[in-house]
Amino acid sequence: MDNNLVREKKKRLIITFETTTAPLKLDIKSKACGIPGRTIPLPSAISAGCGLAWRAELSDRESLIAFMKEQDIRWEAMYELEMY
Amino acid sequence: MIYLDNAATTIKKPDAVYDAVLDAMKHCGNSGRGMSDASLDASRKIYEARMCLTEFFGGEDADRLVFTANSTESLNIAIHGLLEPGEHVITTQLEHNSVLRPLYMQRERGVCVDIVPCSDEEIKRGIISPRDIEAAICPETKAIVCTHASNLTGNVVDIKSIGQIARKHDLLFIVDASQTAGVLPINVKDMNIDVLCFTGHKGLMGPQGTGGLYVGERADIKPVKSGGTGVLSFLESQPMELPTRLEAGTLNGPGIAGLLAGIKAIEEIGVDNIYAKEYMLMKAFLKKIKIIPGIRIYGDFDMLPDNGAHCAIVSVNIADMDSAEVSDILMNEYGIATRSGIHCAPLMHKFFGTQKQGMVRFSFSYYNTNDEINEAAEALMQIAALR
Repeated sequence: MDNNLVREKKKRLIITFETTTAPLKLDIKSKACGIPGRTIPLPSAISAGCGLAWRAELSDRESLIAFMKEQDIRWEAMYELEMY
Repeated sequence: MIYLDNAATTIKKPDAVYDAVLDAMKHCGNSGRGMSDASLDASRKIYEARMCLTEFFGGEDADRLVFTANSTESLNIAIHGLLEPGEHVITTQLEHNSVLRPLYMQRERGVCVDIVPCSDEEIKRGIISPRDIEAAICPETKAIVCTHASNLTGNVVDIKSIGQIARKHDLLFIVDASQTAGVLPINVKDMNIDVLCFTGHKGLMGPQGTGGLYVGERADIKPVKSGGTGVLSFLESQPMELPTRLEAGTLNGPGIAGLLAGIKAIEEIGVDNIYAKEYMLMKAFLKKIKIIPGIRIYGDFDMLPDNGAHCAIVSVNIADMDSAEVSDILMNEYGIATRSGIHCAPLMHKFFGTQKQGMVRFSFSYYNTNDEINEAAEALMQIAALR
């Protein structure tokens, strides 16, 4: 347990998907290619009812778009959300 | 990783389970398909599992123990194979989508589905009253479908009383034991259960892809799938004898071998000892987290001596924090696996008003430790403090 932990809330890039398989494709492909971000549970601010989303920094937006196009990964929407 | 999502699936199993799966994969053929040693070995193993599970659940005839892939498949077989348009069925607000969605499908076919709400609207703990179930019975009622415990709160339903009501009114009683099989005693005879639906990969400590149903003599389930059975191959319809009647296609031999090993391990440890350990962990966790500022704990933890069971599940929220974010922080920063969101229990979230926020569910197993519980509680305290 890190007692000096400070958790900062700031705007993050959240990408959502229409299918359950698309975020997993991004998850697997990104690891191999060093793409920024990680898989998270779908924030309730976007939609209630569970699912997966991709979280990255706002500055990663263009590189992620290029990567997803290159890998034929279809995303549904991109959001900027205040998150820890 | 500290794994506290055992209500979704248990990861830590007895070593005998892993060994049994591997051994069956290496040596067992296709059960009921031919007479080779390999095929017979598979058949013997699966029949042993039928006998073992039948005895475990207080059944009398191993032929009535049917294997499936999970509780969802078992519940679909029971619900779609028993109900007809024009009939009435009673279920509860506690149910998982594995009960609700098949029932909604039946509603489309003309079955009248009555969902009994929780009886404690004022105190909001999520309790189902057997009296409310009895009050919902009408002349067209065919069956009561009910979970043994909520997968969201861990609240245990008094299925013995509901079973008595079902029998008194000559109704079929279908029980979803997903959260309780292997943790709480279940006896289909004493509890008047006509169809017991269970999964193998949670409390029974078997592999994913295993489950089943015990079909009592009063339940005449029509097959919802048909196909290869290894017997009566010139018959154009599915054979009517159990268990073949409800088992089309190759069974999950290695999985069932693992499930058998899981049941044997449970019998060795003792269901009561498993429950006592999980209960102790849950109580220790509760004691630590209930003082966290802003925490909300869902469920009924006032366990009465005569109805004193509660599955080892504690679902919480911290103030207005998104459950998905809390769960993500727990995993990403503390290495603690929990489950956020709706848990496939939409009606319970409506009851608690958490459709949007969801909940963070902690669920414990026999193999969790006090140290893990302490770490999880401290992590939750820190998340609450740093918000």
